[in-house]
Amino acid sequence: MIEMVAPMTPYERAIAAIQNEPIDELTASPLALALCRRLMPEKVTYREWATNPTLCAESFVKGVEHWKLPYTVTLIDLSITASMLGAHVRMDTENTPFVDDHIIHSMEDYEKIRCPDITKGRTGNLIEMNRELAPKIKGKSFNIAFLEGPLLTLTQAGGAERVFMDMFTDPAPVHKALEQTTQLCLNTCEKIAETGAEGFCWDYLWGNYSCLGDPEYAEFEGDKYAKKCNEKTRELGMGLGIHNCADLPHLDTQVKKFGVDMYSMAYYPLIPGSPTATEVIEGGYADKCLMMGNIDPQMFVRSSVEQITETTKNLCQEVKTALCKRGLNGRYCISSGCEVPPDLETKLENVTAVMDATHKYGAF
Amino acid sequence: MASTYFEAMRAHGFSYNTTAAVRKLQCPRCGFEFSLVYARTFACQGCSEAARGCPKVRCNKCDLEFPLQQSNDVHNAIQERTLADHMNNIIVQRNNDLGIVSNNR
Repeated sequence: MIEMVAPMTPYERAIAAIQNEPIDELTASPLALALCRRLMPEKVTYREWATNPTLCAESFVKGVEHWKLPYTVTLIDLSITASMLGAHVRMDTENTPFVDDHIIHSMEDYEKIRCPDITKGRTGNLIEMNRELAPKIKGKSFNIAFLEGPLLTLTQAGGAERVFMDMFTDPAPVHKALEQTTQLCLNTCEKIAETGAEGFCWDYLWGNYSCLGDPEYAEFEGDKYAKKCNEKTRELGMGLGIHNCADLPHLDTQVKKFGVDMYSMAYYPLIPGSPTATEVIEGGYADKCLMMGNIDPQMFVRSSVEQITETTKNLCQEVKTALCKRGLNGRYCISSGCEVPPDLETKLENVTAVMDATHKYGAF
Repeated sequence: MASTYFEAMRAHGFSYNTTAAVRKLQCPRCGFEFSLVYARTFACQGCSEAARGCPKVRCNKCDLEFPLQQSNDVHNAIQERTLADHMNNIIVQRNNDLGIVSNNR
């Protein structure tokens, strides 16, 4: 039975939702990340935002102030660790940075990968950004740092097709490279933990049945490399989160086996088998952790305020019904399935609409 | 191919063709699920067409060769062509990197 509780602050709600304690209303936290740069008083381009830790931290603070976000996930982009391994990253003025020149051209190249000094370069910027951000949102928003996982780091640096082919034919060098990418991840996690981040979210994108089955995922990430990252996160006293916007995520492995506190996922209605919020809750995954999802990120660009309000309303009702049936409190956060597109065309008012609609329809 | 999943992957820095290449498709005859990358690595390995922009894929289990357009992620001939060319570039580059000079086996 869900109890009525007094109004809470976003931070109190964030903590209570993770711990499955009674809350006044569902938490809502669309993954508005680079979008927050548009809340800055002066124009900040994506490139400036992604490369200037102070501007980046300031923009996240603006996001917390403007939308009262209970969770702040500090994802910049997914090319950070790959760039540290030497992959060339293309940085357009107003586009998400991405790798345009990979580093793997022979099997020997896997063995040449070495964990770099993470206090410099883009991971250095990421650490600095987290250091500036943490004290400013302390007690206001649950601060979750974000990093690519070991396998995603390698596929970003080496090219997904190439790495997958080599995984099939000659896995030993790939494993050697993964040892190094894991070390890169662990070192970065350790430094970020010193900044005061309360949670740490890993992007384990390849835990996806449409790409890798259980044995392959276990061999190349789950059983060894992700395990180390998860254990390190716990050891450092941070909440453990995973983001996976796959269409068919390895939920049993990533939620139940890994034992996470927060799990952010997407839903693709046109893909058979993509789990709905109800299926996720009925499947017992919200028993284990706070599930986050699953509004289509493109709605923030293409939909009207009325449409996204209606979608949020339906999701709130679906989630509350499923949680109630399962005997849970607020173990589902209304969020976007993936990052809210940081484009200049994305409607800021749609993020506001999701927050308002959750306040209205997500109340217990 | 323009599903929201492909858009999400694109936002992560993976092109449409990369996503389609690593995503599993289903053999229309035996139902086996495998990715284009997996097929090119094993079933198509000895075929010179794999390095010449072949628009087909061979099932690793039953050996059926079928057009990429029969995959759920490829909706028309242009997508089939661009995906085949993309995969061809990967194969040629990998062959060059690995010192495989003859594709005419």
